[in-house]
Amino acid sequence: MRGHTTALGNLLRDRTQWVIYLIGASIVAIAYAAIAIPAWHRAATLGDPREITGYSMLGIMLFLAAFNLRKRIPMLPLIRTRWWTFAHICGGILALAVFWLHIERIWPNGTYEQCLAALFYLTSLSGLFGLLVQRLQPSRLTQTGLEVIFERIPNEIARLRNEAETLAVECTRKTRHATLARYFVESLQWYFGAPRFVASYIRGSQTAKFWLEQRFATVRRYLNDDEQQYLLQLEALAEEKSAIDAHYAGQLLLRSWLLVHVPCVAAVLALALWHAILVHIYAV
Amino acid sequence: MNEAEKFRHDRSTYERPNVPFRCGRAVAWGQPCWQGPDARGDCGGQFECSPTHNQDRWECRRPTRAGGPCKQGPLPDGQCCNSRPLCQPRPSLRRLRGRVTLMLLAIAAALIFAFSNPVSTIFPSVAAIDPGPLSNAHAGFIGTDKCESCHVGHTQTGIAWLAQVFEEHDNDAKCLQCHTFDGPSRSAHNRKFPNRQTLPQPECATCHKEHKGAEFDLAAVSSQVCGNCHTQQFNDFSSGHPQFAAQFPYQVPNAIYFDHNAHLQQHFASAGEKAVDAPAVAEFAQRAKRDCTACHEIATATREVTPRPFEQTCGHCHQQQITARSLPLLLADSLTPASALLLGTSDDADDADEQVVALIAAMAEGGLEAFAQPFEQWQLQRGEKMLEGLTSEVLQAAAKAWENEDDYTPPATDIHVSGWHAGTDADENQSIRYEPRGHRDPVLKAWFDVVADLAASHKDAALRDVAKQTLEQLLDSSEGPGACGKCHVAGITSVDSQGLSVPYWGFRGPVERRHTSYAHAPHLNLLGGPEACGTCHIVNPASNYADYFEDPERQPSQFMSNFEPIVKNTCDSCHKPSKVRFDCQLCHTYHRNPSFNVGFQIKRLARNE
Amino acid sequence: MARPQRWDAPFDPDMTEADLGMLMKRPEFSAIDASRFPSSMPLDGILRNDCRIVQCKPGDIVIREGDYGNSAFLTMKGALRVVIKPGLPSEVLGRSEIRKRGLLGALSQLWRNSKHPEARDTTTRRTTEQDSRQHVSLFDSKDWQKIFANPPSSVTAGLEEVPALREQFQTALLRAGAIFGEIAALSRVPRTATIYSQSHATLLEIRWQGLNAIRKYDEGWRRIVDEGYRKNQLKVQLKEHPMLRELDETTLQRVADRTLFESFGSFEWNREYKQSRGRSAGGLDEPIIAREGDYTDGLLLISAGFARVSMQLGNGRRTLTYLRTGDHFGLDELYSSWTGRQKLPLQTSLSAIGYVNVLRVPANVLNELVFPTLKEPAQPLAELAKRPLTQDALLEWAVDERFINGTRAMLIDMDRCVRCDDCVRACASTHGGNPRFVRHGKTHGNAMVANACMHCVDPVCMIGCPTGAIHRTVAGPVVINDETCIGCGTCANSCPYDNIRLVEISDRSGRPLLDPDSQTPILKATKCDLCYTQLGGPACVRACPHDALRRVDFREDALLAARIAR
Repeated sequence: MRGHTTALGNLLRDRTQWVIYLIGASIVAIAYAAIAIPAWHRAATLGDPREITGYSMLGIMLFLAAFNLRKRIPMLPLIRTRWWTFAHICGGILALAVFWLHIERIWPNGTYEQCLAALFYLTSLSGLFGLLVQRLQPSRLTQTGLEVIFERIPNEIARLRNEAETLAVECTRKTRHATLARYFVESLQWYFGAPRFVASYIRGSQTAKFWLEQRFATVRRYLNDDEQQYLLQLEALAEEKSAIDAHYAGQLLLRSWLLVHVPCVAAVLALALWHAILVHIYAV
Repeated sequence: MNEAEKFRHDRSTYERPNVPFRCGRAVAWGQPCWQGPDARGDCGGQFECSPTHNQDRWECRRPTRAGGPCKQGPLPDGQCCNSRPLCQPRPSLRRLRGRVTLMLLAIAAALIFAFSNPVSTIFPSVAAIDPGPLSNAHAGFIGTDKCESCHVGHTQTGIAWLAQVFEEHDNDAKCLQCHTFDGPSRSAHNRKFPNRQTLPQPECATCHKEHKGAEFDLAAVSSQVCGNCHTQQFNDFSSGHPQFAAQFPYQVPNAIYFDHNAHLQQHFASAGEKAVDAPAVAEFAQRAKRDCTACHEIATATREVTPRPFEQTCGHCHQQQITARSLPLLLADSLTPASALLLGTSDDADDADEQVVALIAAMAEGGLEAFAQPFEQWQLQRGEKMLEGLTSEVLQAAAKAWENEDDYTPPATDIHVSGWHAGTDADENQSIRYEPRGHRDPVLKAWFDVVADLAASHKDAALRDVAKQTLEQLLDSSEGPGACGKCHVAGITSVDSQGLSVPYWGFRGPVERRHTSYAHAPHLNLLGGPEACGTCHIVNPASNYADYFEDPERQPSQFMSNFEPIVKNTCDSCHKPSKVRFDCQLCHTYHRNPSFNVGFQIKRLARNE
Repeated sequence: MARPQRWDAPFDPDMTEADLGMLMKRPEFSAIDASRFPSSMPLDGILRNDCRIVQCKPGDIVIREGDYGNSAFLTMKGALRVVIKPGLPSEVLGRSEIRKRGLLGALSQLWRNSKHPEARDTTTRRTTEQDSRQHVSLFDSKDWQKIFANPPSSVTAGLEEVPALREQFQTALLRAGAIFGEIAALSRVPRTATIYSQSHATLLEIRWQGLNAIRKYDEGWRRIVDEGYRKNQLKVQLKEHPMLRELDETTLQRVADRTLFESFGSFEWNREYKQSRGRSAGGLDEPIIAREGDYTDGLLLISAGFARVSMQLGNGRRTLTYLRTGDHFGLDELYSSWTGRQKLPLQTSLSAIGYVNVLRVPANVLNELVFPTLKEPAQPLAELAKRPLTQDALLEWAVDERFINGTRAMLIDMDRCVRCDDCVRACASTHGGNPRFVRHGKTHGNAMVANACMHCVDPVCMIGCPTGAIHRTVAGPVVINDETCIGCGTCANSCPYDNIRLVEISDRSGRPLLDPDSQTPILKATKCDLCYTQLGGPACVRACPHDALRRVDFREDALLAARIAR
């Protein structure tokens, strides 16, 4: 009925999702107007709009940071996390817009403000990156055909490695030829040692598959029929490992963007608070 | 392994993501132990199982998910037979994230603390609070004070510095250490508006924002800001600016009676015919007829395009008129307005004749001394100028002649050089008179200036009246000496450098507006050519220019210029969006005479040291 | 702390030897041949440990309609009344609340949760199970004015003085010697009626472990239970079906008299399922109840269990839907025959998934008594075949995996799940730091049914629990009372979906708690309890940041499930 599906395609086809996007955009627009209009009015009446936009920024950033706090108290019946995520994304986009409104340009001057802006941009960009990753990566993981918990990947890899080595040894024992075992040590053992081609999986390319095909094709001609059976089993193991590696890459990506996003938030908040103090000491 | 087998309750136990540690072997991609690190972060997998003592035997208690009980069983002393070296559990990604966060927070706090204190002795640097470069205008003048030049809060250190957050700052005082204005510095437009008590008092930084970069124009302010006080609110010139005043810019009556219409239509044309033997005049007249710049000097034009001096313009035709009329000082048998003034009476007083006789007698005896007394009385210094060039010999000779009722015949040698004549004048009267040598004759001018000052400000009321009368007569347009009154309008005075109230001699431009400016030069550069003037200054052929000047009771509101008033449409045909600038600051200035005071000078000197 | 035993916590700790003697003398028990009971489970042991003596005042509610109960009752003295439909308003029934945590109690979990796995507080153990077994009187509810026109003059007044109740609701009398509640206790279905006491009454409450044992070893009780079913339960169950609900009493009795009761599949289906799991045969080897193409001779009403409706498609059978309690099969074909349009053979097949109790109403009974007053039936089942195959794929898979049993299966959309484990963390923080599910499980496309208790309609895990630690709360979730659980593992082994896990418990500082006799660690069975004591419902659903996790009932949420499996 639907044919080949991709994550992006699913998102676009889902009408509910469109409604949610529309509501989100409206909320952002309304909130922006709620800040921009008083600020514009303040500017037109001999006031300083940066006070309004500045405190709005601080409020928005504290609200965004509160997301992490909410996740730490899941036992209380606060609003469901998925709406907090929605609010967080809307708030993040709003923060960018209000930031540009606040500094009236794209990049500020002044050493301190540039540090603050750099951290803020880093946070925003990592957040946008995370949003993209969270939308695109899960279906890629599902499409590997298996599911594995991230913390159990070392177990799986160790198991596959053991099985592969056992196969190689057994092949030698049963067929009395060491060809496969030697080749395994030379070429394939490295593959089973740890997740490989991680960067390639993140990019979405097929390097591992090609590499394996090459490796297996190379040795096939030197094996007799019995050994070929073992080779087939080895190929099955390698394919399973390939799926596990894809999961490792994808899930690592899904976790590691937060290693940039969350620490930056702490620094941004600290610097922003200090900025507020400085402004009150020096500005009119 | 079949997938379903993997999920069996005895093969797969709960995953605990809230444990912040990972088995060290897993990190190295080895086989992790089934126990995992304990809650404290120590390795939990030294032994495969914890054997139990059942009756007399020790039993292996390795769970199913780790392979079930082992074949060998525990050692006789109860220790598990399978042991491995302890691993080094590593923090999980989440814990790592928490650590990085705290670290970054600590670094940020440390950097802030280290660099923020402006007078820190460890790292004295204002980089941590540097909000951007100063404009070029200020960057050179803050000297050693640096931030304190402008920021009151910067004068404190430590906790007091932080406490500034809660204090009100008067940063204006710092600005006013160098900047001055022609009026109250803290008021809008540097003026007080008594009927606008509720005006907001803007601070300097309201409009002038620093730290925006070296090239930033501090003086530029957005047009919308003006609407905050001005009751008539509009965004900029092209949308909503009120119409110009009714007779703009010709509200102020001219100080020199010059009828453009008459000249352009009649006089310039006929002048050429009159002066056949003066080609310069003819040429001038011809040019003046069509080209405003024949008279008006545009090279130095600012707000006004002032006419050139008399000699270059009016003098072509009017020079003879001046020399033709003389100032009679004294007639042989009667007072003139001039002498009446000197005596302190009027020329039609009852005892005028006796006074004349007495004066002639005094002249015959003392010469110039006869006129010394009034000058002492008046306490005027310029008085001497009034009789400059007049010698006692001439006076005595003439007086003696008149005493004898003879006509005085001047000697052939020239006293004409000084301008004073004694003898028979054009009306066949014996008189001592002064013939002006040309425009701006100093003696004649001295007469006008002194008389005007007396009329305006002498403490003796009688003398003032006399002086007023005399001034009127002097400035009479048809009979006044030197024909000054023909062009120079009576009744307008100004104060000269010595404080005397003198007639207003020069060209008088439009109303002085402190906050509005106009520059002819860019407009003329753009429009080019002599025809450019007519773009805005349109002659009104039907104007009654002369009426105002001929009415002795005239009021300034009656004045009607030769030109059509300039209307707003003339300007906003170009000063509008998509064409040229149309912001308020193009024509209007906010401050009155911004300047610098002593403080600025000191700073400048300090910089030069 | 020693390992608990089955009869460590007797059902009625206050029962005295005199009481026991009195019980043994009662005709219902004295008639039993006590020698047929094994020595490990003697009759008097059953009476002493699995029975409880309950005193009732007038107005006390003994069992409430809709409750899941684990006990049967024997009226020893006094009179009780059964409320036949319509049931009493639920406010009157005083549905007791699950004792949820307060705000501070919920928040305190932040600092009270132990970082050691499966830590237990050993200082406050051994409290008796505190569930809502209090007999609330009809007079206790705020809304008793709804049913009593004239308020009673005193609490002790008998209900004879308040006729309003009997006028508004249909009731039947239960005298001394009546046994009731046994079907619900044994069939794991909710109570079908409310029973309250009309006068002062004394009851014997027998929990189902004891009842099962008595029924197993005594012929007389077995017959009573079965006949009791036909007399009391059958009509009630017939009334579950919409087409019979409108019938008047006599007609319904006539229908009931001729209704046949049939049972298919095995009561212990979970064991067979486990052995055959992994082989999704599409129902090819399930017991057939009715075959496609045959002419049916009666309407099949499902009274318990699940049945698969399927149709031949090519080389296999296509599952169209599944039926459960309250559903019927064969109506379209029989109705069509009756209207004379066409005599239709069955368009679809019906097979038993696990076990099914079926009531067969013969066709001539229908023709005579039911169809004349029946409205045109709704869309026939065969219409479901018009759906595209891919839309059914998830349902087909769910039926094969028996996930249809669950009322709260944890369905995770793997295309939305970012594998963040926030759900597991939330579950842990609401359970003392210990998660109660594992985020893995069988997947179909992008839908995963995780290993979290599905709170099944047919909770097979409850079969065989020796202490009754695993029970169904009034609100529906199946929960395990951690204190009375002895860690035998029966429930964990019974669960066909591997959703119950045994854990070794430790004390608050992480040291394992060992049984003093055998020095082996004490085990407890644990599973998802739907956060029934927490504020706000299941924490996992609330914690997922991408709305990937839902607790679903496959048939009710078929639309949702179809949306997930794009």
